[in-house]
Amino acid sequence: MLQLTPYLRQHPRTVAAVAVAGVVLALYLRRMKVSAAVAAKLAAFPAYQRGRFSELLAEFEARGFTVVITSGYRSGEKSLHGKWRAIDLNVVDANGKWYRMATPKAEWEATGLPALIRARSMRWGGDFVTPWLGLDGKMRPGYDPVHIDLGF
Amino acid sequence: MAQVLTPLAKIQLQALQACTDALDTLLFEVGTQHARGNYDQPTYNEAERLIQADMKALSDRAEAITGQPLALFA
Repeated sequence: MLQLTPYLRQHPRTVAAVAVAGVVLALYLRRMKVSAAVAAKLAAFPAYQRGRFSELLAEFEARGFTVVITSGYRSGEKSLHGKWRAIDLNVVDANGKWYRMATPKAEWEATGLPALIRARSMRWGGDFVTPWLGLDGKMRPGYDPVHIDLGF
Repeated sequence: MAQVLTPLAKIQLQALQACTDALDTLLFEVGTQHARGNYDQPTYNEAERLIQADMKALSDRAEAITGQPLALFA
């Protein structure tokens, strides 16, 4: 430390730059801080996707919602779940109310969470309107409010 | 205000937490199986509702013991 001090005095701009970078990095990592349960379910995701979802879900949790991821990567699937680019989730509000697949769109919207998803240029399955053919060969309704993905 | 827990109450709380975590795991499995097309929509909706009701019941039980609801997930 004694040897380092003269260097720091001679290079104040470098010190300042490193300090600013450290603060920015700390703030960035803080934005992505999610609960242990959410982190565990995202742990296997590649870093980029994990970061994008963590940032979003940290916002959900900061607003008082408990996030329950109900599906993530699904190997062998052609959907974005098979590319580590989609998750399914339920949320619970501070009053213990669950928001799930069967919850009407208006109630999901009232949480304010869909707006956060769209603000990050992600896709919310509650906006899907086109029926799709499931892997079981049966048609599914487009509406899929538990689904969030990063797009193609 | 959280109560001071007896050793027995702590064990009860651990059991309730373990059950909640197991239901969380089950919910994930059911969600994934549904997405793979192994459950139809009404079955999945009802399974979600039942599992979540059980989680709520565990939390209510924890609240009766500790004065506070269970943290949903450890």
